[in-house]
Amino acid sequence: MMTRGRSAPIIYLDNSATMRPLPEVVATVTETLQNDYANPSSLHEFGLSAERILTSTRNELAKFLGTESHKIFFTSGATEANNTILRGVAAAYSSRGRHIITTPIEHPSVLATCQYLETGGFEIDYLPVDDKGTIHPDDLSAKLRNDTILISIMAVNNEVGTIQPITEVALRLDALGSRRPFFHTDAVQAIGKIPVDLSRITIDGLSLSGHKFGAPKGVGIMFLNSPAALPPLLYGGGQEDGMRSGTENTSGIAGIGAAVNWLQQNQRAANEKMYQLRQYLGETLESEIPNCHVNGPPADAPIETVAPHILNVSFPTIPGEILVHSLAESSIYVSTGTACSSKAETTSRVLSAMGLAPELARSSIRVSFSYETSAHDIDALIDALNSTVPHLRRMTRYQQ
Amino acid sequence: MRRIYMDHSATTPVHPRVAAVVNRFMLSDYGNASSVHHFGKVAREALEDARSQVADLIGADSPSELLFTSGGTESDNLAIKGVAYARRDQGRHIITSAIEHQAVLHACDALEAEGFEITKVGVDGQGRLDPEAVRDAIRGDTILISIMLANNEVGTLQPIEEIAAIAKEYDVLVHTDAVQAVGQISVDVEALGVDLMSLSGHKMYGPKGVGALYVRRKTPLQPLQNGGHHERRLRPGTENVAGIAGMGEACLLAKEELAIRNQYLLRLRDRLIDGIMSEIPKVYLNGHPDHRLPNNVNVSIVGIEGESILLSLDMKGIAASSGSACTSGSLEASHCLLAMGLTHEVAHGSVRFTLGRDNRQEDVDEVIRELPAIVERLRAMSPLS
Ligand SMILES: Cc1ncc(COP(=O)(O)O)c(C=O)c1O
Ligand SMILES: Cc1ncc(COP(=O)(O)O)c(C=O)c1O
Repeated sequence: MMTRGRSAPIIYLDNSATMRPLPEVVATVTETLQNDYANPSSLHEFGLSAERILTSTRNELAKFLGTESHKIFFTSGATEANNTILRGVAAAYSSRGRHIITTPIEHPSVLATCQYLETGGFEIDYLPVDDKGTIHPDDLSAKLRNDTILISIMAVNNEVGTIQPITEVALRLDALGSRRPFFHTDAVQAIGKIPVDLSRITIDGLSLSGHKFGAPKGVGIMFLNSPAALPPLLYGGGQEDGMRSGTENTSGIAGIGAAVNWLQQNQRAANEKMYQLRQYLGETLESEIPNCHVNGPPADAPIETVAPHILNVSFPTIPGEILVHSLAESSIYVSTGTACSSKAETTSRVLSAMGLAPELARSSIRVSFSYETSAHDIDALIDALNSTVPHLRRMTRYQQ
Repeated sequence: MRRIYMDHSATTPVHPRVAAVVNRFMLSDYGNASSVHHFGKVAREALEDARSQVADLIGADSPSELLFTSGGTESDNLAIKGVAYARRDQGRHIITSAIEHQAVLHACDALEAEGFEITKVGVDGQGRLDPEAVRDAIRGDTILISIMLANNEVGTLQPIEEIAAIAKEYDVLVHTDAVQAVGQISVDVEALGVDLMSLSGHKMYGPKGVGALYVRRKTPLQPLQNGGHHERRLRPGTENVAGIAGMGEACLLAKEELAIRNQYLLRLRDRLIDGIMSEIPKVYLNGHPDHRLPNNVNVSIVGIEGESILLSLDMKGIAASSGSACTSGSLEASHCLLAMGLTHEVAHGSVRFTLGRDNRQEDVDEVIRELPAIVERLRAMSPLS
């Protein structure tokens, strides 16, 4: 909770759109900007010191993810990581086949890239999701073909928080032996929120974005299990082992290191706290506000089945945007669906794919927590909804 | 040990005003510019302010002609591949120069592997391109000319205005990599007449990981990436608001102090060149004496390896470079110096000092004091001399 001027305290609950960098991260980024400004490729002592930041962050991150540091590449964000991997696999494997399997609930940086590949002659198959937003590995098995080269399934959905059965998918793919397609997962909403351990299963490519786990915007991570297999998206000086050219964003990368450090010590407790807040918020709203529905994983979903930081909830008859604006008047900031598509789309593609009735989809809001979110913040949101929802419903009824 | 940083073409120190802006957009105004609420609005305004600040520095007609990217490399890749794919129906021939940055050269190589044809126009002994040589290279199927405004190794400035005028006669688009020029010399896209121009924040006292691409209105461009609606869909991904605002501040700063910065650096540069040339025998100034960045000193010291000089300088607390930072990890001679016709031996002996607004005259004098002794010692040890 923060205060802006003398007005009501600000309660920011749109952390899936972007999270305020952790205080430790801001300190590290600022310190790096001021003191370690050299180019990591430079041969002099200034440059070597900047290079050490890259090395140590890469090592920390590799340890955190259960992998090796030479498989980790820094990018400008997850959009770039998703594009590099999807376009790269399509280019490198097109002689083997042109069939790609994904889901209808992916982030636009995956979906739009698949649509782009479709215009280049690739065939895209979408796995259905159930009413909780989950895909089923049997559906994947049914769609797999000899010419399937790529499977891209997100680890956690950014609108409803559903966790996908990534481990089970990976195990099934292992059974395919040499016919195994490239398996990519967009784990942007998973890292820092649920355990991500690459040592136990085979994932070929994974994308992360700094600003969703307490690090700054403009820096992301691409994990590749067999780095040499894909062509890069950006060509140039050959940084990041040639997989991603461009002078490295050292301060942003140092920020990733600080965030990982923080997570190593605090993630478990922070996730449990967020999970309890999610459950408390969902259950309280459903019991106190008539005709209120939690979308996707229910309020009491077991911790291993839902990301702890996202609750998607509908208040039928009130359009989501209206509720978002109304809450903003009490300095409470939530969103409808994703930030990236909130301008472009009126109803959520994800909720529609889950088979939600149009009225539920239209009236949904997403509340997303950070490590800083407190029970006071959630109580303030509940109070605001308790007074706003009946009021807005009376008004929308007059309009109808 | 007092440290002297003279590697500003590799990257510049972040100006305190820039660091303060970056800090603010992490600490308090941290919203996602796509969000509809207050935090989103503040972030969006910061992006648009920064866009105006960049546009203002380079004389763009409208801020809407600027896209933010992750840096100079991405801007170069987006410009070259973006135009190539968008105009592939009109032709597949691209003209560039032999002394471009790897971001341009390797993007062209990638296109060549996909069936485009690339002509690399050569340069003279001072690193200058002849605009008429560009004219001669133009064919019926030429779609793009990409020539840098200022070279990163020797600082030579290219006659972009004349090249753009020629290109116009043939309806060919012109991209210029101005990463080393913007913030050092006055750059005006209207006067230059270019269609696309690459910029990078960290070469002008801004942060790393942010850059911009100027795209003249109506220039056809295909994005390199797909995703959200950001940057008119030409460059998707959550905007790096803090970095972009920092780059905007760096542009504002450049605009404020460009004239003095320029004069100040020229004076230091010429003092350093004169000092080195008069104190050390058998050295050559690489690049052009006049058409040259105000902060660039590149000399070849015959008989010794540039790398050995760098290490000795580093031990004295002086940071310089041989060639560009990107290739300095490798021991190959600079492609730029070789293209200028230098022998391998002379190219291997090159050292680059690039000055910045934080350098003082005493820094220059210290280099002039230290370098001759280093050279003498290394020459005495060298099998080459
Ligand atoms: C002329 C030139 N172009 C492009 C670049 C690449 O810029 P960045 O490192 O920001 O990607 C550089 C610097 O490395 C450069 O000197
Ligand atoms: C699931 C998911 N994938 C990818 C992205 C893209 O990340 P970025 O905008 O940082 O590139 C986001 C967030 O915008 C996301 O939520």
